[in-house]
Amino acid sequence: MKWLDQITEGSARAIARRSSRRSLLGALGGLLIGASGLPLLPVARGAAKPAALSADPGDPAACEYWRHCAIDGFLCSCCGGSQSICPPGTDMSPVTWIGTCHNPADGKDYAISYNDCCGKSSCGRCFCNRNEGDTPLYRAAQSNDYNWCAGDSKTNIPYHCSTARIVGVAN
Amino acid sequence: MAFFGVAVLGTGVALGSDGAPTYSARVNYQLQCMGCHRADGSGEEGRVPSIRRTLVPFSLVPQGREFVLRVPGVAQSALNDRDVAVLLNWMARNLSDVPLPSNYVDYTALEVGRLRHNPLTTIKELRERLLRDLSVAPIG
Repeated sequence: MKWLDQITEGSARAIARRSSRRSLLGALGGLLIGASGLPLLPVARGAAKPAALSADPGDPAACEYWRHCAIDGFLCSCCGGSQSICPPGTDMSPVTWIGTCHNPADGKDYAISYNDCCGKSSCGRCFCNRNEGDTPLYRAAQSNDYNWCAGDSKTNIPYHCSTARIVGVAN
Repeated sequence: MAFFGVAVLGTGVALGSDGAPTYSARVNYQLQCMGCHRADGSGEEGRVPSIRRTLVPFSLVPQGREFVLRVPGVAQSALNDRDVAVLLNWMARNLSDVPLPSNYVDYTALEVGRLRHNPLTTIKELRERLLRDLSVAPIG
């Protein structure tokens, strides 16, 4: 019944994007925690430190950021976290899917792990859906459409935002 | 690294004979397996099997090797037979709590090709039986 989950997820996200009350609250929340989005509380970090990059161009809060080439969700950089750290009050789902994106600064492809941050309702800010190199759903484990929060017993299903963690150079 | 029939680009990505990029075993693990089995192959107790504890013991007996090549994550992966074999041998050497014994035999493309086209559909019972028969502790 995954299609039912997906439809529900999609409509919930659509409502969250359009809802003016939520976006007002989101804007106020952004002011409260500071425009830089620095978390005030202990945060859940990814399992591994991101690989050191020679160059990491662009704005992680922008959909055009190079690591977001196949992301589908709200950017954690706009939600009190970062491209590799979950916002306070959420936990990173360890079960996820991993793709590759091209870094224009050094010409290399990198493996990107799009871990979802889970346990709070949708962030509602900076929705970004890019599908470079996507194919029809031949392999479920390589789809960005799923709520990957559902894959972990600890984090529970509520999806909050998506990260774009670098796993390594794809060579 | 260069090998027969493969061109290497400046970025270090090798091309297979059909022109599609082939990655190193390390990267293939990241793209095909790590999403569920985790970066170190430990999985999640009760939900995602541990590679660290079972790949090498399973690979030492015929029924275990057959299981490894027919389990859907391997059998139905996007990798060709050669890349599956290379990946499994890399995993046995890099993602195992059990040290590689001297009688470990590398997987080959031929062996992969013989078994992967018949993926398992009932996996849990077979895996539990293997764990019992090989006296591998069942956690994970």
